[in-house]
Amino acid sequence: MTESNTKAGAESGPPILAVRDLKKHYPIKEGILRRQTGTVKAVDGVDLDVHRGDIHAIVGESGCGKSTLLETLLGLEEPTAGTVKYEGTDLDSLTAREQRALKSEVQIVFQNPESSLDPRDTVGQIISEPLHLHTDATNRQVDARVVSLLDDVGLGPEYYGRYPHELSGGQQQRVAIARAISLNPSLILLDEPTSALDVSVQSQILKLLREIKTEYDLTYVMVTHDLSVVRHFATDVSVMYLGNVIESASVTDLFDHPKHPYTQALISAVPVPDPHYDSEADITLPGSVPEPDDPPEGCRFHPRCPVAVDACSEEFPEFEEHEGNRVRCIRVEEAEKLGAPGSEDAADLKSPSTTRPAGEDR
Amino acid sequence: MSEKLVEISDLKTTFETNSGTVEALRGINLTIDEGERVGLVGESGSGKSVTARSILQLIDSPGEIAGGTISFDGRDLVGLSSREMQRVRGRDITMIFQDPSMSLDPVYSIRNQMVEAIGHNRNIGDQRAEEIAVEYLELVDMPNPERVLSSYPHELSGGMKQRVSIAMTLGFNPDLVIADEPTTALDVTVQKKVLEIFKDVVEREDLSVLWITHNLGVVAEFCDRIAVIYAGEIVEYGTVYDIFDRPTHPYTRELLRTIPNVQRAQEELRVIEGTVPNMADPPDGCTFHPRCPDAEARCETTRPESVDGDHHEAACLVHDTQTNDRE
Repeated sequence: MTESNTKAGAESGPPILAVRDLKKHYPIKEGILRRQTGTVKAVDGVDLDVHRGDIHAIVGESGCGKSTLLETLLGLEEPTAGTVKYEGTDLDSLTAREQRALKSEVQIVFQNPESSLDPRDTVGQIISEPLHLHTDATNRQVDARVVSLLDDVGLGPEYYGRYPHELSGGQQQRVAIARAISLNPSLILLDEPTSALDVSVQSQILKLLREIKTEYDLTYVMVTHDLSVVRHFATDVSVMYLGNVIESASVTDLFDHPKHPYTQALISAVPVPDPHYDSEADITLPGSVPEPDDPPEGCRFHPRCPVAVDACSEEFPEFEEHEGNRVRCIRVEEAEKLGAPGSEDAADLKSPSTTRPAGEDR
Repeated sequence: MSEKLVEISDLKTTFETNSGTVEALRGINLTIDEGERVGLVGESGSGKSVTARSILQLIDSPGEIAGGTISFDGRDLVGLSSREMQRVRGRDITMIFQDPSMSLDPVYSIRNQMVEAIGHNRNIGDQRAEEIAVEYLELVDMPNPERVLSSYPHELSGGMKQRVSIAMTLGFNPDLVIADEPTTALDVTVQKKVLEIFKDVVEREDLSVLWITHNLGVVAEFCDRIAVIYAGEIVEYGTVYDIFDRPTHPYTRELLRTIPNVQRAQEELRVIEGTVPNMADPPDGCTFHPRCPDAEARCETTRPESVDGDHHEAACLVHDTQTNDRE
């Protein structure tokens, strides 16, 4: 089923989700007068195009703003600036009623099903709640629909009367997925959908999400830190660092030919389940992600970047196209010499002296 | 062959619950040589953390070690008095937790904690303990040990806290370090750095490590040998190359096929159907048989013999490592 990892002519037509220069800033207030002393720029100018049928993964480490971005897309957070267009319609231009109608088109599955499912409700109540709220279906129709939804996510009708605590983590996540698809949405936001699960359960849930996507003609936006899952599951990837997307590409281009030095470091940091893999050539980054209330000037990544030059600290570059990847970096050619992890020809390009950033060997 | 440091034999740990006796460990054998890094790999509920707690004699009521021996440096830890065991913990065997907050007290400065713990476990004065603390903080690549010593845990990032807890733990000068998923909560770029540092220090000090994890990637990079644990039993034991190149037990084989690899595009991942058994009522015969693609009639009734935890071996009636290794 490798074709599910490639796009089926999805480029045509307007994107189902178009995000332009989206910002979400939080004020830092201190003292008795609660004066604003600073600003946390959690999301600081994100552009994103998601086409119908895509599985668009947003990846990054903690504090990169991926969760805030998801909350803003979902309307849980009011953006500080920028626009979110759903099928060409600006969310802000809609009346409350129209927004509510739109909300049944966009659903979410959270990382931790234990906390996203009400422990006092039965599985049947959990899945039927959106149906009662958003449709005029009779109780009998709703019950029949719930049983068919349970079947779609691989649970028998006997689960109808059970409570979340009686289910395993994987089964709970299946219930959360059933609830998310109950209103026939077009877009589902997945927030680390398998991170809390064991590996054998993770593959079950990924398989289910693929089946459901085909059956319900869905588009996914997935936020995760797990690059192995992304490589296997997504069609497109945006990499975030300190509130900004710094590289965006199809999953094949991103993993076979990562351009941004941070993307390269991120991929090579993932432990490889193969004892023959030579990790000597991997890139290890010095330091850690800076606090988002005090991001570095210029390119946000330059203090940790193995190929940074003076110009990198002056201006944050705009996106440029590099063979199918959109990258915010002026040092793409030099970064490529680092030896893109995963690319076939990487081994010929790199020598040990070029793979270690200077100053890393403190 | 180097000396055996730990020899666990037929270890059974049970918990009394309302629904009966749960056999969390059903007779496991495991050896760790001096200077060797053994990975204990399993999913949640498989018994990997119970193994760690059993070695440290930290099984509290209603749990108990119901049988078997844990020989450490020639001495059986099972049945030691709590006073004797307290001397073993910290001095001989230390543990690093997934959450560094477990080993760091939020109300004391790092200096207070490191100096006291190192001084106590090494039986040395404060001044010498502080020197050692600085030495190990440098060893784990903390740029400014003096500043770190004056900080409180909340002032440090997750990666720094974990490095401090590693420095403190190794500063006790133990023979065996039990590491319970110490890098799981960290970001990948930080995890990579912490793993590299930990590996360097362990190699330099020739420490033995029991690394408990569900992450096969980390195990492949870090460990010499691997024990795969399923439902309280070690189903396969061998070197990393045995396990990754010649997996024999169907659970090991299926597990390796369910994990995505970031370095290559793959066909669809395999799925192990079903769920881990309820340990209060485990299946008869081989505990994996209800989920096993190769199960035969005898697997439903006959329990495979335990692996001895010393060479490549699988606890399976159908498959044999010897034929597998020859192929």
